[in-house]
Amino acid sequence: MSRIYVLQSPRMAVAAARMKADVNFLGAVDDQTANWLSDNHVFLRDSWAQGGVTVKRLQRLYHRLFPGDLLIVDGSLPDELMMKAALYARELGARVVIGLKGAGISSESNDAKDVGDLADILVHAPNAMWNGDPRAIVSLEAADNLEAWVGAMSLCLMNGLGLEQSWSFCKRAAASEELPWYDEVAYG
Amino acid sequence: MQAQLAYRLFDDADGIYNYCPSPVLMDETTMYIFYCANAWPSLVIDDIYARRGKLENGRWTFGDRFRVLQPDRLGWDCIHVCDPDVIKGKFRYRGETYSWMMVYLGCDIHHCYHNQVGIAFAKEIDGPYIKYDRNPIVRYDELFHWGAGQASVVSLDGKGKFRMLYSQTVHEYERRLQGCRTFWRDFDLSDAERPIVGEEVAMHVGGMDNRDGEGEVAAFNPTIVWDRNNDLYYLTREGTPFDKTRSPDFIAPYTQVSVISRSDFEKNEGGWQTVYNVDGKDTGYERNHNAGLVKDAYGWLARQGVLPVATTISELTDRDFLWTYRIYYQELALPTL
Repeated sequence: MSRIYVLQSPRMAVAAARMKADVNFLGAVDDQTANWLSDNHVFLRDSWAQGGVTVKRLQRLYHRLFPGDLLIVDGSLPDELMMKAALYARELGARVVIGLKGAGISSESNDAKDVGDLADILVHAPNAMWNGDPRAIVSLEAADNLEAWVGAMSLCLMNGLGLEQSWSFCKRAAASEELPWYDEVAYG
Repeated sequence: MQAQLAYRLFDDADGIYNYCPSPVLMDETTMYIFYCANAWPSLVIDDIYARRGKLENGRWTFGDRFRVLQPDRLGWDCIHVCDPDVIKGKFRYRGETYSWMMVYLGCDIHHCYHNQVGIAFAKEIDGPYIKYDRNPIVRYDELFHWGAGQASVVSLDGKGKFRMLYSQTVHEYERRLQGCRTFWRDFDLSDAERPIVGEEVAMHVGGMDNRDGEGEVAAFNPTIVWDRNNDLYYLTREGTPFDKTRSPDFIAPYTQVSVISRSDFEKNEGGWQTVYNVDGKDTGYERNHNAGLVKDAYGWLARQGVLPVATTISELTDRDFLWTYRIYYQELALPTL
């Protein structure tokens, strides 16, 4: 069973924690968001109340990740930061999952993201754009809640399931507009 | 010692595991079995399920499973609930009288850390079970230790007094040693708003020996039944030492059944005798672990001279062994002591 690290996406972290995944968070968040993360059983490993995530701060990942871990990254992060984080993950034997929303939703620009070559798994909204060649692609439909999908997939991946095996659990989670809880998906 | 061959009590779907049985005999032909299983195939989140069984033509057959306890969304038992044990009694709680009590293991971290023991009450054996607001009733502070769990209970008075045995981590930091051992304490939850919790005792293992006579004896994952006619306690424990050369290497090759007089148990200076080792000759499998003694509603021996045992088996495989966990049943003819 592997561990999950989420970089700079509080909603993906909470989505995964509500699925009972083992979620560790790194990122720059204000106190209110930090409390929201803790209240949802996310372990704040490295968080910064002042300033944003920088390449230097990302070095924290270097002593965090182990082979088999999963690093979940919000596709709206600047390409430079995503690239650095993904390189650390690759070097340390962890897998990279990128959740990419469509242009204009959470991205900082409408440009295609240079994330493709970094991702072991790219989960994307219908109108997302990227460059490169992810190892695996999960294409969501317009009605699917991307963060909920990534959260549910976190639990599946840490249990060793493949994407095909994970699909029905993730699809059920992604049907929720809010970030769902495990019991709403597993017992529903 | 005479023992019938064990047989599987029920099967389940692929990707679903069954283990840690707590079988409760309601009468000669009716048994409830509480056990741990997952809800969604191949996802390891433990819930507690139950099935109702009937004895037909000398074999137990069980109906469909139903969920009796699940992890909370947040809090001390938000990841797994498992290792149930259920007894009958009389427990006053929040202005209501409950006839059934479940003890269970809960945890808030994956990877087998920070287990603690909780309690839930019900008016009927099949639920609904209401979690006690003073949980965890047995706390464990260290976050990255196994913790406390695998509780087994026996009623002391048929009402609110009971004795609980449980596994708990012991550690010695200088030698970097950690292991589980059995502890016990008495409770009185006749008035659960004013619980009386006895002092914790580290259970003595004097007289126990390993199946092959080698290695340190360690008693953990206890289940207990009280033979009131002879004032004896029968106990199961994980058979030690584990075979570390084959996969899985962290579960017992055999389950040991031991007996001790209640007075010797309470003196806590040993006096155990080995009754039987449940192993591959009984089940046909080389891993026989997480057992539960079959008992009556109060945790007492139901039928003189016969000790039924439910044992979890798993197949030896390099991976996916978890999905082979199934519960087997056999009856041991008790010796005259």
